[in-house]
Amino acid sequence: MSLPAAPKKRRLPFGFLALGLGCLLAFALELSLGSVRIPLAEVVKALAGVDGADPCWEQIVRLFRLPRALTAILAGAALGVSGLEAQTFFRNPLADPFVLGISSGASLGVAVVMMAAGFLGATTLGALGIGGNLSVVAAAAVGATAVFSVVMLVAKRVRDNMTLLILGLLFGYAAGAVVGILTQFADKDQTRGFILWTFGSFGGVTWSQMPYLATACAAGLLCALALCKSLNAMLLGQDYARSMGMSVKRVRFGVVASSSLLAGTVTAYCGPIAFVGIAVPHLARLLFKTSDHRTLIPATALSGALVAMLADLVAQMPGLGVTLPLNAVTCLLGAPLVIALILKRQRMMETFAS
Amino acid sequence: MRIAILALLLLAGVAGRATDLRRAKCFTVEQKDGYKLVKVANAWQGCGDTFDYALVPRGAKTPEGLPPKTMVVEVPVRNVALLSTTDVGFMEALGLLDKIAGGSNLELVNSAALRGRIARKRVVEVGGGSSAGDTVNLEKLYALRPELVMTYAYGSPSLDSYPKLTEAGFKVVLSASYMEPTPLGRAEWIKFVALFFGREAEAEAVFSKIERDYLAVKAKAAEAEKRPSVFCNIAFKGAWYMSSGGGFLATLLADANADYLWTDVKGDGSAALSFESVFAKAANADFWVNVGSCKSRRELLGQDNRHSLFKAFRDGQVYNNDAKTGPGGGNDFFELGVARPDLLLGDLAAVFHPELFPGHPTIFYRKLPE
Repeated sequence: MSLPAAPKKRRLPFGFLALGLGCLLAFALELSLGSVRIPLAEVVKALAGVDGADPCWEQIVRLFRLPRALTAILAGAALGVSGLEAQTFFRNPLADPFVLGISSGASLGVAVVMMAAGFLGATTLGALGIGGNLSVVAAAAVGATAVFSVVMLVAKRVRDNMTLLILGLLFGYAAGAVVGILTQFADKDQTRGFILWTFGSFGGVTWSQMPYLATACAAGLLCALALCKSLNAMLLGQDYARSMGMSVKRVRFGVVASSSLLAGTVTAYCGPIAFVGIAVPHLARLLFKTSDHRTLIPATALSGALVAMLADLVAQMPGLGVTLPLNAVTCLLGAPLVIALILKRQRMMETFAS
Repeated sequence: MRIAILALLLLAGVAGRATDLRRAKCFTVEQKDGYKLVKVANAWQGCGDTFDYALVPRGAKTPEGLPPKTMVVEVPVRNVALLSTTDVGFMEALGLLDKIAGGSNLELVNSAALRGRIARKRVVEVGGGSSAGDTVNLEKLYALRPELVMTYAYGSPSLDSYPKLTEAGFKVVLSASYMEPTPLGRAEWIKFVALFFGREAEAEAVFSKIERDYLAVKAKAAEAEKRPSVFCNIAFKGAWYMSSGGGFLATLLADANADYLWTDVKGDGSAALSFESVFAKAANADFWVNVGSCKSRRELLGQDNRHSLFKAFRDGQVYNNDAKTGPGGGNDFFELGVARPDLLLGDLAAVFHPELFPGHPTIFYRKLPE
């Protein structure tokens, strides 16, 4: 048993500088590359709101690319940190933001709204005027919150984190079963709509939804940051944490709450984005060669934002007009990268060994 | 001599001349010695094989020397189970509703006459409760024992029901009308249905009238001075699935003398485009059609409020094809509309060129309400 290794001092600023520059570059690319070819000068004009900018291009940059890029940043950072918290909480390198069943809950909510319209009366949601995208977001949020509440209740009663893990897994199966039944009775268009939702996308968030997404992500990230010392202690086991004078109960609550808030919010707005949550924390650990959460949380947030933006860039296939499913891109491009890193380092479990 | 010729003509008449197909590309009919050979090609996207049916007059001897995979069907068929509501329009036009003994997804049926028969329990639901593919409740179908089962196939072992039904001893006929790229081609499948019931002459008459009316609307629409630009479908999470340029809808739009902006999309289905590329091209388009499940402008904005950026939206020129939706939620666009492309074209031509079709009431299309 040893305390988390402190990162080598000279590595820190350089690492953050590189990540920050990478994010800036990716952000610039997100704004300037897309299905429609827009010259760089026009992009700058559109952003600055200079007179004489092409109104169509201006709208594309401001209403499509900017919210999309911001969503990618928020979602990437949120999923990465949520995954980091989950991995530390369960002391398991395979944990991810969805291990508590949050995304299963969200999927179930969306499946009910999208495919059970026939049972509920197709008009109910439309009549409420919250049809379409908003109702999908609301449904995912309700589903995620429901699971979250159950998890929190159990977390309060049960001391063993593994119980939570198994609960999350089992809930995933149960939710999957209900989704299967709904799919069986849904028509082709509804099924297709649901499948499209599971592809994940950063493009569906509009400016009117951005404040909610941003607020929830900021709250979750700040909460995680505030918990970074407790997370360090947790890495060494709950008993150790208790001996350090930590209120394990409160910390557990905080970690589960912030991790679920981040994962649930992103899933509600972007669909279940795979891979980022599990891989990015490893990426950050390998880049900074540390398991200190004071470094890891910001590093994971930045790496997550960078990975999400790069994946989105590829998914948009700049210049071609067609798009690829985001989830396919994150997995296809991310997996070889992480495998390469792991094989190079070979000591994945090091951080988790106690 | 005269008598001989007359007899010959009569004989030819009795045997029926090979069905004359002008628009449909996915099936052929050949008059053979004592039977008709019907071949369905392209039963699904990329289906390399044909499905062959030998239609033998009831009571006649089964012809010999048929290729092994040819299925023999005694015609006229006395009762049929339809696993898709798409063929209901054809059956009704041919006066054959009383031959429908069973069907799947019956709640989606729009035809009032057939709904009446369903209510009187003259038609049995044989569906398995899912429309992802034509899953069938085999036990119900066994109890019904229809002489013929008409269905579609997608070339997917998990979705297609015909292999299992064939194995179970049912005479299963695959229709491929959905693979026809043109509205008239799809409507000509009424002749395919008619072949199994000995109603070829009626089918020819019905189709000829539809074809005539369709071409008349097309010719009139072509007189319009302005060719409005049009696009279709809606955004979902930043992606936009645009119908292909050579498909059913694109042909209708072109024949209604409108300029469909995505004629360059290849293939039979649709292409996943990004919202921004659609916006760049269609921002100033005149019309917007087929907005899916959106029943009002408000719902369209609920789906994505950037839909309001389109000129067609601001001008209120958004039309959906859901005006004629049945009590069970089935859209008649896909039932009656398939059988009556002349009515579909009439709707669109009246939407695009109201000056040429004053006072024309649309049937399937409606302006999206607030």
